[in-house]
Amino acid sequence: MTYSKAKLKTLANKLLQLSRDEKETLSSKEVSKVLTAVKKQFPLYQLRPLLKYYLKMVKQALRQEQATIEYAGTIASSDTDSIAKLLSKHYNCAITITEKITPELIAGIKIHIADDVYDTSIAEKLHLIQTKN
Amino acid sequence: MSTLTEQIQKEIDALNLTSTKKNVGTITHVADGVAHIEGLSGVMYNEMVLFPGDVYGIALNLEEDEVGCVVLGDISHLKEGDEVQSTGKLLSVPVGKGLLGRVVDALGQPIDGKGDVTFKEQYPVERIAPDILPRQSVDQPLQTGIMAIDSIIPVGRGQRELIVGDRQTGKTTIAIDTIINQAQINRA
Repeated sequence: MTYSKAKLKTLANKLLQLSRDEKETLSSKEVSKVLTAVKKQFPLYQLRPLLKYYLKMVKQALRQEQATIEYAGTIASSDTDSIAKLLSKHYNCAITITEKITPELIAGIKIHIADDVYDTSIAEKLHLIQTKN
Repeated sequence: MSTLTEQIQKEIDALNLTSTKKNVGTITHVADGVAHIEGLSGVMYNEMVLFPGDVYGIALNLEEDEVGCVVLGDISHLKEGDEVQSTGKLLSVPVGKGLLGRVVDALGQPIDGKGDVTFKEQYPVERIAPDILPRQSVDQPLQTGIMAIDSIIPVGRGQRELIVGDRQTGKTTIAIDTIINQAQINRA
């Protein structure tokens, strides 16, 4: 049986749902269980495209659960905690934070999460002033 | 000196301290003027997107996991992994009297070297035309400069006309003659 592209995407989406634990977060334990089961039961010649879609979806899901805060200088841990709380509330899932020092921002912070970027940096303000004139 | 500091102070006062939110994506592949982008989950159909190097594009093909965009500019410098931003604006161009006598590209950007186009408003390109009744009635002729047309089948300014004819019979000539005649009338 040959699966169509759409069918493979649907299957990959189901695998993604099975990769979540009881807290609805992606866990490596569940992912390895899914991979073992798929390798056993899915035809070998269509395993590669299915796993590619699965990988893409897992990457996308991880991007939605991880936020990167870029800043110039220092940031208090209490601030990152409160940002994580606010983002978790806004995106309705537990968000983990990774920090990155970017001196080009001059001051302020820039948050990347999924497809969204929130920018309060001075570099962005200056860029806006520059493009406005 | 005081004007300089006043100018800076004015800019500081005008600074908006709220954050800017952008919806971004990354190019997965580009070919034949079309870029496929992963991300841009909040993009609208027909929305302008901004590529690196201030090149604009239009989001036309919205799929579940990628967006197909037509690039309205030079694609030679675009590459896989480049960041693309949504603008939140539908494809629109400047309108108004500031455009009279100017040469602009498809996005309304000036290409005649006469500086920026002054405009007060922009209209979306894909706009529903107004109904017949609210439109101003045609009360002025459009002189083509060709006596046979202007006397027998006069054209009204604002009307649509169709030039039908076999090849090599002068359809383009009529159109160009009309443009030249208009230029002469408007210059006077």
